[in-house]
Amino acid sequence: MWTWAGAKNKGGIHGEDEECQDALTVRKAGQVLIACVSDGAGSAECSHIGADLACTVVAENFEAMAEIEPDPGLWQMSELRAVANRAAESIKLHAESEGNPVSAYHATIVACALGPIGSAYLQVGDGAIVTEEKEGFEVRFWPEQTEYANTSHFVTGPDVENHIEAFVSKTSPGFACLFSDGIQYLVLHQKEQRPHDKFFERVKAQMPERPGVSPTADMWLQAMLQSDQVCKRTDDDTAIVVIKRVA
Amino acid sequence: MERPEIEPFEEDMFLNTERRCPVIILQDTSASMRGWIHQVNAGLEDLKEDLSQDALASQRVEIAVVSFGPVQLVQDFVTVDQWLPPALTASGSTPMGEALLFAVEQLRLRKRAYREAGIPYYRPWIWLVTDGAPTDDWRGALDTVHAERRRGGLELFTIGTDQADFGVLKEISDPRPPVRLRQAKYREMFVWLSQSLKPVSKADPGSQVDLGDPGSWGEVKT
Repeated sequence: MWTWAGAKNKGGIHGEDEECQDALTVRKAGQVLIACVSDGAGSAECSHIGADLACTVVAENFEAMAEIEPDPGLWQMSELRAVANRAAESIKLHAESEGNPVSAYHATIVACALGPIGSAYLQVGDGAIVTEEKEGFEVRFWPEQTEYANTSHFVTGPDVENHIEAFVSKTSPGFACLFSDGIQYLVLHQKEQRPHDKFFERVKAQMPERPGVSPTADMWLQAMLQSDQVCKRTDDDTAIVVIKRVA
Repeated sequence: MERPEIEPFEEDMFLNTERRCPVIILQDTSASMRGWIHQVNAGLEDLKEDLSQDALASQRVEIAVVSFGPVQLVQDFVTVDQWLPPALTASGSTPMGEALLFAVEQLRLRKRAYREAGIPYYRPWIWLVTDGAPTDDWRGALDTVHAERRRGGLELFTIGTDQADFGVLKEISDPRPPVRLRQAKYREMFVWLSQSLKPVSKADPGSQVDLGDPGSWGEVKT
C-alpha cells in the first residue's frame, strides 16, 4: 500500500493573471500507484493545458496497462514509449481543434507506476524521479542535458522519439519523488549527478504511515514550495509528488 | 481541516546551485562617442541598480564589458551583486569586427568555465552599441558570428544611434533587426536591458529570445 502527497506553485516569473504551467496527477489502479508531473514551457502560451493533458493521458494509459498487467515490472518498454507518443498525439489533436500550433502546448513528462513487486518509469525532458533503493536515493533518469538551463525537450517536440526515457524494474522502491525542473537545481547535485539526500530525507519524514492521500503532507509540500528558501532560489513554476510505501 | 504547524525549512535542505546568464556589453568607445560617454557610464550604473533590485537576477546575470576603440576587456564576467560599473572613456577608431570576434571568444571561454565547474547557464547575450560605422574588416567576422548564432550559441542585439550605419548593423544582427537609439537615451536603454534580462522563460533549445517593444528609447529598424 501507498501514501502520497503533491503540490505545485506558480513561479515568480509569472504575472498575476498568468497560470502555473506545471501539472501533476496521482491515481491508484488496484495496487499500482501512478504519478505524473508535467512542466509546460514558459515560452508556450497554452503549455499549462499541454501539461494537464500530458498528465491525464499518461495516467489513463498507465491505468489501462495496470488492468491488463498489474505488475508494472512486467510492462514492455515499447508500451511505455507508446504512452509518450499517445500523449503527444492527444496534445496535437487538441492543438489542431483549437487552431493553435502544437508548440503552444510544449510540455515535459516525468511519470512512474509503482506496484507491489515491480515498477515502471517514463520521462521526456527535464525534471526527475528520485527513488530510494538499497544503496540510498537515486535519480532514475538524469535530466536530459540541453546546453542551456532554461531549455528542454518536450513530448510535443518534433524529435520526441530521441528524447523518451523508459525503464521497467523487477523491484519497486519504498519511496519515490517526482518533480519538475523548477526545483531540480535545488535538490540535485549537478556536478556529481546525485540527489541532495537532506532534501529527500526531510520530505520522506513528512509522509505518514497511513495509506492513501495525505492532506497534511500536501500542505507541508505546498508550504515548502512557497517558502523563501525555495522562492529566493528559483522563479520557475514548481511541482512535486511524493510517494511512500506503507504496511 | 486544521492547518498543521509547519516548522521552518532549513537552508541546507536546498542546494545553492548557481545558474548564470552571461551578458557582454559590447560598447563603442570610439572618439565620436566623447559627447555621450558620460551617458553610457550613467546607463551602466542604472543597469546595475535596476538588476540589483531583483535578488535572483543579481546573482544570475553576469556582466562583462568590452569596449571597442581599441578592443579591450574592461570588465570580465561578474555577477551583478559584485559588479562595479566602469567609467569608460572615448578615443580611437571603431574596430567592430575585431570586437565581435573577441566577444564570441570571451563567451566560448566563459561557457567552458561553467561546464568545468558544473554550473548550468542560459544562452549568452551580446549587446552591441555603436554610434558609427566599422573601421575594420567587419565582414571577416560575420561568418563566425552568424555560425555561432545559427547553432544557438548566442543572442546578438545591435543598437545604433542616428549616425550608426544601419546597413552594417542589419547584416551583423540578421535575422534580428537592429534598434535605433532615440535621443541618446542610453540610460533608458540599459534599464530596458535589465528588465529584459529578468524573466528567463523555459523554451525549446532552438527558440530565439523574443524581446518586447523598446518603447521610448528605441525604434526597431526593419
